[in-house]
Amino acid sequence: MTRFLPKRLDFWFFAKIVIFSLFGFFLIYPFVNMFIRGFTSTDGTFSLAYFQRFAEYKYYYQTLFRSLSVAVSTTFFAMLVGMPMAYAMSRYNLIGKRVINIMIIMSLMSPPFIGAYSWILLLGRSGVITKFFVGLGINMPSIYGYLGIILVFTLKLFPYIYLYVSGALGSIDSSLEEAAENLGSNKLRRLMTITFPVILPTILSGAIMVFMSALADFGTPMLIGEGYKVLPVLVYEEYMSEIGGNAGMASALSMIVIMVSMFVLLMQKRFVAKRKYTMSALRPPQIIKLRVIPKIVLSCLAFIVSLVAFLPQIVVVYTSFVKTSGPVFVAGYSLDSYRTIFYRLARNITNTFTFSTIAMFFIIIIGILVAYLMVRRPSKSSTVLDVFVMFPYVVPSAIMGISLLLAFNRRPLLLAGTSFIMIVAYAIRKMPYTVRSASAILQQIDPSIEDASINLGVSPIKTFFTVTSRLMLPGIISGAILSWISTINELGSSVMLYTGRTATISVAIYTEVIRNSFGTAAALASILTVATILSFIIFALISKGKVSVI
Amino acid sequence: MSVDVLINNVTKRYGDFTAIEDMSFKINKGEFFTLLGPSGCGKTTLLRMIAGFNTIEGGDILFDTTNINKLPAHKRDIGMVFQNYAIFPHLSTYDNVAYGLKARKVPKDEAHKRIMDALKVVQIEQLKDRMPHELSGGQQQRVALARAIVIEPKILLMDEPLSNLDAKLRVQMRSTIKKLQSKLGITTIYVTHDQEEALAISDRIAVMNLGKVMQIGSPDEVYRRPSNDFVADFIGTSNFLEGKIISSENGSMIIDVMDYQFTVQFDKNHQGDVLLSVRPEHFFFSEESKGIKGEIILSTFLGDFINYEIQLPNGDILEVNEYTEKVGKIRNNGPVTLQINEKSVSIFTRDGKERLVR
Ligand SMILES: Nc1ncnc2c1ncn2[C@@H]1O[C@H](COP(=O)(O)OP(=O)(O)O)[C@@H](O)[C@H]1O
Ligand SMILES: [Mg+2]
Repeated sequence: MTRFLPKRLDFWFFAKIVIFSLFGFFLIYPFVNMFIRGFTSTDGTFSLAYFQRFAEYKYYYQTLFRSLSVAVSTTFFAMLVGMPMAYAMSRYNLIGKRVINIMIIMSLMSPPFIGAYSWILLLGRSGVITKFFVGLGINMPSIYGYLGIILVFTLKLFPYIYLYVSGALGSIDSSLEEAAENLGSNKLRRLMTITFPVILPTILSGAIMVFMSALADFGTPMLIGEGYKVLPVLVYEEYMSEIGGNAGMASALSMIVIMVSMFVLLMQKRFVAKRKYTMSALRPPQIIKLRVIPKIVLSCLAFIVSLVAFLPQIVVVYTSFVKTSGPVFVAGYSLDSYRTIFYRLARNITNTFTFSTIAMFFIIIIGILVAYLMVRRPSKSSTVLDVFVMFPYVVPSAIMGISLLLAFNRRPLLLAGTSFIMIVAYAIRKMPYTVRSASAILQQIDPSIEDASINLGVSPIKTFFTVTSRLMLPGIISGAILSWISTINELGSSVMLYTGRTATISVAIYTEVIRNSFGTAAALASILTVATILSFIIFALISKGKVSVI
Repeated sequence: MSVDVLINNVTKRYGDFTAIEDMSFKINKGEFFTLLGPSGCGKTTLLRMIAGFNTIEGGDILFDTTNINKLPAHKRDIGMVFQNYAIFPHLSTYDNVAYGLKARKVPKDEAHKRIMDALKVVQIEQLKDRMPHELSGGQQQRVALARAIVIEPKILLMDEPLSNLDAKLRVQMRSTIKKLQSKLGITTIYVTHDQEEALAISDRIAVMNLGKVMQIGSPDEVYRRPSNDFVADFIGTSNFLEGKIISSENGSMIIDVMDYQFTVQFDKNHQGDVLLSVRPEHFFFSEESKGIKGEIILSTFLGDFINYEIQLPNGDILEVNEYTEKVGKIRNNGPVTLQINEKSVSIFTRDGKERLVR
């Protein structure tokens, strides 16, 4: 019997068991359950009917092609914007780099779908800019549908490319490019034959982030897509129309989305693993000093791009102070929108911050333990744990919400509709940020520091809590803030899991926009934006300017 | 306070790999004992077994008469100095040193006195409020040392404590450690792969290779009387020569090396081929025709002695040292004849495993 137990029956063994049980119960079981439902017909027998239906009807399968098309186009345009931005910002002496940089990061961190919402206000049927051009007798192309989705996604997601590529460009040792120059390469040749191939894996990682986000997001296409239905929207609608049914179609569709994401991620892993150049720039590349005119032109261009990306947040905050009369904005300013939300939607605000705080608590505790197990106790089971923790990262959060609902909507496991299930969804979905950041810092901590403490008479477990976690703190906090920012802005799983009592700010924004109550939506979105910016400032202070949000 | 340490048939395995194989020896109370051997021979592994960080797969470790196999690391009362110092980066010098006393709940006044004493002993009392990142490598090393001795441990363990310091500081810290140890009289187990450091600092040395002890002895013994070819080769410089026993009787035998014959006193009776190990300073140049014939191909003046590379007819190279005082001038390249100081030569069985002479 004792043969089956590990040699060390210590705290970490029990921690591992507890964490495995939690992930097993709240992640693996729901997904396995969903998987089974995708293959089970209404009479409870095995069936491929849902997948057949998917393949047969254009209504279904075209959403997959649309999703892929949106994701591919978004990735393409994000690279088109992100790479030159990164190159210009890291190689030339542009003016106002800090401001540009902050605007870009902020647009990445912005609440989801406020991009869609703001662009509707600007370019929609009764948008400010549209009306302006109509007044001039010019008809604007419609923002609704494919074009709008791509526009919003590109502006929101190009920062991934920008951040990844700037990071890589900054870590190329300048001697590498100098060597190429020395061997007689001209600038363009050098860029194409040395710089580009070296940073290719990084570009690819950024592209994958863009691709996956574009594939998974459902708020934006829901608002701005109108007739152009993409896969996540279809999943949502199928689920909503099947409530009470067995949700087989929604499950099958979810499996398809997950399979696409996993496939893309595996491809990237294979490709990147093969050509990974580790570099630490001994001599970082030199900043090229441009002459005045080119410098001003290039700075303006970069500024405009980042401003356009940041625009939705300005629009949201601005419109939150504009007077409204029912669904329309009228002349003049007021705080009415805020009055309304504090009167009518105060609960959503407290929900968002309460749930996120509690989720944060669990994320930090479990995140530290998981990071420690992965870094200091590597084993097969730790690797499995790693996969469990990172899995939610590739699952669109709406789908995660559905899986939890399907798993816990019946006695004896009736958790649907509770705050608890929302907190669980947040904790699992947003854990990866904290785990990554905590393990990164733990890897920097010399294990003999822990040994020294034990050697001096402090028990291993007390050493972990007083020394190790104390030293991990900066990494944990910055990871936790990223988790936090992402949690307060979370829409997908919230929309699936909320009930009247547990609705959050993002759910309220969503429903207010659907009800054409733009003023209150703007006020709510402003609250999120401000909370996000504040959290981000704290994050930047804690990470001492070494900001890495990717 | 100090204790004997007994290592009895101790074994350590990592999966199929045996890192320490059935090792037994005794370290005496108050002794400065060094584990010396090439990288990967198991020194750290053994030290960490004594400290309690590695499990023991076989055998026993005893402090005096107490078996400590099952005693958790934090209850062993051992001071340890780590290779990279392992200073707590979030604590000041003073708090680093205070750490072990806090764990032992030593009253504040007494703790303060002991901390200040320890800081004084390692000469860093003026740095007590500095944070670790404001200290140099040598100063961090002193903090580590103070932190280890302030708890008045039964045993002091040090794992290559000087390997991260520059050469000059290394020699300086070496003597600091040696003086401190003899003053405190703590049983000390010191790990190094640097044979010169081991010779300089130790009362006794255990020379290790591939998880086994090759020889235990004083620095003088392991240098002058290596028990096998590994020790001869690892410590100092040795020239290896093949030879043959021509005759052996009445405790003395005649050895033939490349037609050069000489007599040595032997310890163990043996026949046939042998392996000789000769230190560079144990050759001398001879005017007689008797001796090993060779040719000087390179001479290097090193101050108090001159080092010659001498090529033998079979192509092998010997290293020979000659004191500058003795001859006064550097010999020219060209043919020479070498004889061996037969009192200092080490003679092993042909496989090098067993020493045949005293
Ligand atoms: N945790 C471990 N797992 C597997 N093998 C190990 C482990 N630690 C050490 N070893 C192996 O044991 C041998 C001895 O290592 P070590 O004691 O660190 O050597 P030394 O300190 O003498 O350089 C080496 O071959 C090393 O690879
Ligand atoms: Mg070692």
